Amino acid sequence: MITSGSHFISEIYKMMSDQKIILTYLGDVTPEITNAILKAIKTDDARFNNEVVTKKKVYKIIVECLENITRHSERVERKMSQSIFLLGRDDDNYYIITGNYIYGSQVDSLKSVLNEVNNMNKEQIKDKYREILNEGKISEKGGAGLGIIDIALKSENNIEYEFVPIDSDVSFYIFKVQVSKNQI
Amino acid sequence: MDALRLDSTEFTPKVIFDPAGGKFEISGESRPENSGKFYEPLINWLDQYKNNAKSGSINFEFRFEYFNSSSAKYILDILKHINTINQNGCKVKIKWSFDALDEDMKESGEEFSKLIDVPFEFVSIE
Repeated sequence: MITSGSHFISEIYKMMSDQKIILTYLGDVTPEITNAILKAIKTDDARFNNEVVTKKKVYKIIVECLENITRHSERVERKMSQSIFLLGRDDDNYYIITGNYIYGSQVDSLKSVLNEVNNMNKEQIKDKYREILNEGKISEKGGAGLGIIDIALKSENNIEYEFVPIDSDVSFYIFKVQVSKNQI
Repeated sequence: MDALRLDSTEFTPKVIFDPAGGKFEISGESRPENSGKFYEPLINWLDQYKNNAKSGSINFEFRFEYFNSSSAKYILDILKHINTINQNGCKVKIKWSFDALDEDMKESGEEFSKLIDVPFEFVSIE
């Protein structure tokens, strides 16, 4: 696979440069990995062209995305724990994309939360956030969809998603959110 | 009651609960690996305190750089305790400080303020 090392690296380099991929990770999303990714983003002002507000939003969304993955992968067996995380950009937006295995039984409830927030305006999303928060039924593991609602609130863009069935029990959950750069 | 003080770490906030000085503060970043483990001792401390505090006045300042969604419900818990302390006769002033560029953090404060009776003073830090 990676026999011709230098050629392979050149290919990867070209692909990541062309696609404007800032950071990508494949593997277990452990707390240590989460911390490392967040540290890299926190200290990287140059890459964000000193767009403080955008960077803050991207940072917050990445936290929620990675914590969602950690929550799910604790439930899916170890053999299915490999996830992908990608941060990219183009001229107008930053993109945060994740992919991770979840149980098929989780698909419907996730879909309904995602569809619900995608069909709401900002004020409605805020009301929903407050409602869930005040019900206080958020477990450390469950999150009650608050993370997704928080992401929708911060990104102010629709969330794109896809569930790819792997077998009778497991699906691969692809999640994509974008943050528009500040029009200063 | 003894004061409770915690230094900030990279992912947990600085905490000062000082009844003698009337100064209460939570500031910095809140993304604990386990939010319950971090916040429950704070809630327990306030549980005890609210039974003792029946007079006087305190200032409670929140100055978050960032908090994650699993910290949010504990922050609301803390606010509900503050609300009770105020109802019990110890006057509480709540200050919600935020980075001037961080509109999201200001909005978060506005959302929290809708859920309790004590009004917030919003302070934008340049």
